Formats: sequence, structure tokens, C-alpha cells
Amino acid sequence: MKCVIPGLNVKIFGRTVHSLSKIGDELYFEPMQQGLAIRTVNSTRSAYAYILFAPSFFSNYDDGSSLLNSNGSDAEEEDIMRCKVNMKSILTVFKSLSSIEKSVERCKISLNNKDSRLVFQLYCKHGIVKTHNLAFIECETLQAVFSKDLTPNKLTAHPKLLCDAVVNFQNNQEEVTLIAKPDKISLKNYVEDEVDPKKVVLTEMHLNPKEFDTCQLGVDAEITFCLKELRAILGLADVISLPLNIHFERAGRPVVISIDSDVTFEANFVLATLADVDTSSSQSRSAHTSKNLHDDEFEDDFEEMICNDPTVDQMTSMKNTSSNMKTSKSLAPTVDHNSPTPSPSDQSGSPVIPFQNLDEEDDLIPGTPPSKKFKSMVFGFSQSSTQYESSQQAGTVLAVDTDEDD
Amino acid sequence: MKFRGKLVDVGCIQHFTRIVGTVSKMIKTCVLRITIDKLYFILTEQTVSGGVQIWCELPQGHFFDEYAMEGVSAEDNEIFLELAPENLLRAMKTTQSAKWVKLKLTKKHIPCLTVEGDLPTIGSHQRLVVHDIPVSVVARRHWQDYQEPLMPEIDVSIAMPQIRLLRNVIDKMKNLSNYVVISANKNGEMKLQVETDMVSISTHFLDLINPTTRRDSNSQSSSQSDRDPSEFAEGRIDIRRFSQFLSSQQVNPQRVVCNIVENKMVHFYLINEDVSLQYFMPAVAS
Repeated sequence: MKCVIPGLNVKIFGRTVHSLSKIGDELYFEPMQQGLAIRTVNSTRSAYAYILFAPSFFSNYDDGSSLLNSNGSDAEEEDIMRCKVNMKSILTVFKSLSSIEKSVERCKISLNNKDSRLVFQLYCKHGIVKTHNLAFIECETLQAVFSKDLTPNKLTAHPKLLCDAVVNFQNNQEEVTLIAKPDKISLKNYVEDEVDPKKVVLTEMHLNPKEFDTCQLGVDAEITFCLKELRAILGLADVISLPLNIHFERAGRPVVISIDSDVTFEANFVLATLADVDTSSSQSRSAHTSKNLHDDEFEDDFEEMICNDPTVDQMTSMKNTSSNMKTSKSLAPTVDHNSPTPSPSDQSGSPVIPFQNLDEEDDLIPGTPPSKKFKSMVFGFSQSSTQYESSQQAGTVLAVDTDEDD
Repeated sequence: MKFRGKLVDVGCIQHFTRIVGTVSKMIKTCVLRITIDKLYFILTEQTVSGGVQIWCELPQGHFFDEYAMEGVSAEDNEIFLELAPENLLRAMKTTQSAKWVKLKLTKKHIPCLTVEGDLPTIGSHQRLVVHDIPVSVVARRHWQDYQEPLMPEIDVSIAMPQIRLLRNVIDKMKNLSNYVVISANKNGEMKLQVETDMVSISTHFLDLINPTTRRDSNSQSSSQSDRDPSEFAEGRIDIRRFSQFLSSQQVNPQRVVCNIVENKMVHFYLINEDVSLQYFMPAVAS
């Protein structure tokens, strides 16, 4: 793999790294034919970011596949270098964005196979070259499966609008609720039940739907998600000044925020939303109903949310993993799903995952405060350490009502 | 009980925010007293926790374009609310550029002071932001705790030099001692002193003005005129609180008067045309 980012785009790349560093602790690199993908996921796995830089983003782009083909005849797609690096170490490469903007003429990213280092070289003015050799860990593709094109609700807005809305919330505010109704889009701070109401300021922000570039609302929705990640996204979007698309459905279903109006660059952020039984109209069924239903629903969500089987061993590639599944339709994040929620009846009689995991879920998800009802997305990891966790989280997803018809 | 006020002018919104900012830097919780013509931010601290008292009053007419209030009853036509000025400040900060800001006493699930702002937009759309700040209503029987502090007879009254200058001096002294002795005489001289086992520092300010307020000339004229003009009156005060007071000032006052009651109290009086702030610090015995 070898690619060169021209001077103008180094800032965008650096900004992206900064933005992703506010979400996750590790940055996943994957050179692909359609471009360089960088991804991250936060520690509680409630937020996932996927940025694809098209070959046209670079002045020179080589994903390394041609080299593999010429070297060995049995080179397969999975031989392509996929790796993750520590977020802190890559952040040091792009530490001061203002000085990068001033002095860096181009940035070369390459792989040093001999020493197993991912090499970042910043070619600055006056012939200065700064080289960063970053240690990496080989890994499999980090994949969240989501669909953004089939969600009933879509808002498009200039980042300025959302920035203006978000500044009204206090910095220590963790979650924000987006209430979408045809006549009014509102944002309000989410306050947990156990907090003393006498200590919390409630903030609500009302926006006219006409202020959005597009406002397609299929169903009224009230979704709650983390403000920290939204701020990270806005930090990026504000700099590149491209419109943001917000795709969402209802409480408990992930919200997808994407930037796709530029040909060289595509960003997708998937944020888990709070499954709040009390406030969401679509969640009017109580939790015990969904408990009773959950083996059907399990299958249902499994199809949609998971793209990896926890039993697959570590070395199995993503490709093989998906073929172990009954269906592989949900492989790539940008692939459209045939249907976002297949109805339980379609799936009956084909349960896949042992059911007892569900009881353990609360004890086993690290870093998840028990009071929060965040659903996590499930990722296509092949590493055994994370697999178990994934399956637990699949359980979290499953225990929630998925019926969207009411 | 009803209260509703509307700020329209950007200058008024910002000025009001600065006043709230000043108050919130000095104290965590205060009492907002609302009367028909004035708003007050009041702190009455217990003696054990320092005994500082703050009395900040602003006439509503200077700030509000619309103002309506209805107190507990016709005789007691006032409202006392306990709130965290920090919350009010944060709410006001988001409405700095608003077309208008409304302050309202509302009954949500709990009593709230609601700050509502109409934020500017590119188009003609209305973009509203609403902050509900929880408050607790002070019962009628506790009102007496929040009366204007009585000023004992002043020994020396002096107009202080610029706050910024004082702050620089005090911030350096703060590292040496926990207390500062502030003293002044009627010849326009003021001293700030800190003493430790190792060192004794004093900063002298000369050629200051000794204001003669009407209060002085009436009731306290006797004690003031009897004094030898070169004799210093002094008060020993907590330097941290004094430093906090100096650094929290966001409104540039026209005049800052320091009144010293020998070894009893130091009283700072910040005067502006539309707001006044009084800060009472008890003197600490050495």
C-alpha cells in the first residue's frame, strides 16, 4: 500500500483523524480498490465511524493489490493489509492542524513490511520531511451493518445549522434527543430518570423544518443519542463545510449521519440510540412483550445488525465469515438492504444463536453503565476477544421490540 | 406568583449576561429577588462559611422592554427565588445574539425560571431555544434572611484604584498569605499588606479620593469628621475571597468605593448607572 495525499487534502485527512479520535481509541486502516477506508468504534460500541477516501482524493493511490497479484498467484483479497493503529500515535502525526495547513505540501502513507510499520511521511516546506513510523496490529475489517437509504426519515442540513443548535447545550451534557415532527424539529437534552430534577437545566431547541435542506419524515420520531460523538462529527463537517445527512428511524434504531456530497470523500457515522420505552410512541409495547418475542426477533435483528458469526475463528476472513451466514446481504455498510426489518414470520424456524447469552448481557458488556438503555450495534470482528462481546451485544439488540408497524 | 420580562436590545442582553456572569463567578447559589421595579441578586452567607454578603441590585427599567410581575400577595408584592446563577449564565450565553430574550417564571414539573430566546437565522424562520432553570421559591417566612445588610458606621471611605491593578497586586500576595490587611485613611491613601514570618509586603496607593456620600454627611458625619485624616482604619480579610471578588468583575464599574469599619468589616460598593453591587466582607481578627 502506498498513497500520497496532496497538500490541500492533508488538512481534511488530519481533521478526519481528529474527529475520529474523539470517538474511538484505535483507527482501522483498510486500503481497498475503491479507496482508503478508515474506521473507528468507541469503547462501548455505541458509535462507529467509517470514512472512505476515494482514489481521486490522493495524488497517487495504490492499495497494494496489484503487488500481491504480481507476487503470488494465490493472492486473495484477504491478503490485503488491514490494520489498526493506536489513535494517540496517529494523532501525533496530525497534531497541529494549523501548522500542517501552513507547511505540509504532501503526505505519503506507506507500509514498511520489513519492520511492520505504517509509515506517515509529511513533506514540508524547505525540504523538511517528517517521518512517523507507527506500530500496528493486523486485524479484520471493522464493520457495522446499517442501512441509511431505507430509513423513513432523512434530514439534510448544513453543518452550521447543527453547530448553532448544539452550542446551546451545556458541555457536560451527554445525550441529546432529536424530536422530528412535520411541523417542528426539536433538540432537547436528555436527562436520566435518577437525576435530581432540581439540579438539571432543561434545554430545548426548536428548528423550523424549512431550515433544513431536505426534511423527509416518514414517521414521527424521538431519538436519543450521544452528543459527544455528534460534536466530533460536526467538528469535521464544519471544516469541510459539506451538508450532513441524518438518517434515522425511531428510538432504539441506529441513526446514521453521512457526508456524501463530495466525490473524493464519503463519511458515515453510526450512532446507537436509546431504546426508551417511556417516550417513544413506537415503543409503546413494554419490555416484557419483547422478552417473550425475542427468539423471533433475534433472527430479525440478527439479519440486519450482525454480519459476523461469533463462532468463526480468528483467522477467518470477513468474506468467509459472511458466507457462514445464511444471508450475506448485509456485508458492506453502504450496501442497501433488501429490507430493513424482515418481519418475524419470514424468519421463523431458523434461529441461529444460542439464546442463553441474553441473560448474561448486562454483566458482560464492559463499560456500559447499567442504567443506560443504549443498544449497541454489532460489528463484523473476527477477533475472538471481541466476538464474545459482540454476541452479548447482539443480545442487547434482540431484547428490544423491533416491530415498526405500530 | 407571576413573573415575565422581555429583553430586546442586544446591549441590554449582553449587559444583563455580564451581571449574571459576575454574580455566578462569586457564588454558587443566590437568591433572585424580584420586585415591581428592581431585580436583586442576594447572598447571605452563614458566619461559619465566611459571612460574606452580596447585594446586587438592578432597576428593571434599564434592561427589560416588557416587565410584569405579581408577587405572593398585594402587600408582599415580591418574589424570592433561589437559583444557581451559573445555570442562568449558561442559558443567557446561548442567547447573546438573540432577537429577544424572555425570562419567565414557569411551573413545569418543578418551578423553573425559563429563559427563552429567538435566535437569528438566515431566513425568516423562527429558531427558538428554551432553557428551564430549576429554582426553588423562598417561602414568605424566610424573606427576612435576605434583607439588605445594615452598614455599621464607616470609619474611612475611599475610592479604590482600578480593579485590574488591584487584582494584579492581590494575585501575587495570595501566594504568601491567607489574609490581607486593607487599610485607608482620609488623606486618600490606601495600603494592602500581607505578613508572614519571613516577609512583610505592603503596597501603597496614594492620591485617591475620599468620597463624601450623602450618607456620610448626615448620620455618620460626626464619626468621620472626628477622625485624624492621616490615621489609618484597617480590616483583615480573607485574601482568596477578595481575589475571587476582584477577578469576577465583568462589568466595568464607574466607581468602586471601599468602606472600612475598623476591624469589623470591609465593604465594597461598585457603582454603575444601571447596576450596583455591594460586597460585605467581615474582618478577621489576627
